[in-house]
Amino acid sequence: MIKVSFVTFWSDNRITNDENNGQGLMTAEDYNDCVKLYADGLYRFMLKSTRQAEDARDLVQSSFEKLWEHRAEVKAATSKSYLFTIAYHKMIDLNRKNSRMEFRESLPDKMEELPRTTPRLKEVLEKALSRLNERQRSLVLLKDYEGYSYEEIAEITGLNTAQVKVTLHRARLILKEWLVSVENVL
Amino acid sequence: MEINRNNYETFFLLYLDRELNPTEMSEVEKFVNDNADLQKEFSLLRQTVLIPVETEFDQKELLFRKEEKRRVIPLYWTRIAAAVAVLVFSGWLIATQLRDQRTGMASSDSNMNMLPAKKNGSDQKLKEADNSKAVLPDAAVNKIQPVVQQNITATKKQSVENTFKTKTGLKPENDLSGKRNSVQPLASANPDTKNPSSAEDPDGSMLAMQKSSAQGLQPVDSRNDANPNQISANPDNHSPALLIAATGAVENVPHVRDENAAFAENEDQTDNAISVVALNDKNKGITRLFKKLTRRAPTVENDRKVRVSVFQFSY
Repeated sequence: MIKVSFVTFWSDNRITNDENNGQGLMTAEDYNDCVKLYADGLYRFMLKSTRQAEDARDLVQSSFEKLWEHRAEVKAATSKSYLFTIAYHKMIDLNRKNSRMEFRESLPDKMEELPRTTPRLKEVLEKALSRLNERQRSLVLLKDYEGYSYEEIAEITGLNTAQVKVTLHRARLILKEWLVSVENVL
Repeated sequence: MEINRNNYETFFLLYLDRELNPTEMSEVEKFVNDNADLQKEFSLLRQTVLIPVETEFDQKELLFRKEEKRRVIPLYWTRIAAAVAVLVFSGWLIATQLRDQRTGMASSDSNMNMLPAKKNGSDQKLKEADNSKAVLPDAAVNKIQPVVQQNITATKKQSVENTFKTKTGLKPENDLSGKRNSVQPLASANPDTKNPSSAEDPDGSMLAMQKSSAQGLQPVDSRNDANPNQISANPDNHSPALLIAATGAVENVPHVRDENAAFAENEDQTDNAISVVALNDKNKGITRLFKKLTRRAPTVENDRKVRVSVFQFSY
């Protein structure tokens, strides 16, 4: 009988995640925390933006995939902003590629096609979102759902703060006009 | 800038976007209270703020990831010292076990003890024949083979001893110790044959050590003279096992070499290594396995590595 036993171990000085922690960069733990904290919000943002559940899921998955790939370059403190930035631009790319943003088709163009019963405000606003263009809708979603400031939205969307402010204000006024028109009809 | 009836819409929107500081927010609220005709417009604008809806992404399990990292064990000098202590202890333990095994085997099965004698006797005899340019009589060679068989008889063993006697001029003491007596005098009487490559290879001592292992173990003293890094596991009993402890804090740690140059591929190994291996004779396959298992780690430039390997082969 031959018994062979061996023990071998190695040591090197490669940079490990522990060393990255000193720079505040993301670890696998931070990434998984992002999944827990932001996956729902990101999915909601994508779902409201695309109105396609399948597209929204794909965008969320691809966004987290990219976050994972670049985790060594992302600080944990800015991971949410980074994640939404990725998702926003992926969503824009997808919309441009597929030209699916025809929300008006899914909504009644004429007021007489609106439901006869008084809709709840939330449902009205959901539909009112389709009256906004892509940029306006995204900014309203980022502001109202995620609570980002103008500066953060500007960072995510690549706009400047003044553009964000003007765009958001125009979007609010469009929504207000829609609410007024619906109230007048009903 | 203060809120007034000309710019109130902007302030209303900034208020709803939570972009005002507390003081400004209070001013807006006061302005709305003071201007009843604008309260409806303020209310309509406030209704444009979307109320977050609970939406769950139900495929989170697809998103979770695990870090695929190599386990890195920092090895500092204190740990190296501890590792060396473990190696020394392991060497002592191996030597002790081998001694015990040998003692037990000697009492229970004397034929196993003859196994090294076979190798020693036959190889040494052939080497002697080559050195002297003499051809062994067929009868003498044939007489060696039965020595290694388990049902060896005293008559055959005696014939082998007689053969050694005729070739070396030395006289064995008895049957069971014939192996030792046949080897030890040869090693001392004919040192040139023990280490033929020492002059041409700086690592020749290791080569000679390997060769001597293949030929049969020689006295420990002579090997230790050849290589200070070499430690015998069983100096008293001439164990069939050869224990080598090679430690190096510098480059080019000496390595055991095989006669068939199986180790030549790794001569440029530059990482620090602490290796202990207990080898038996006729174990080229095992030494190749050892070599494979102790091959250097994946190299990354400017990486410092310390490797500690402990191997024990016991038959």
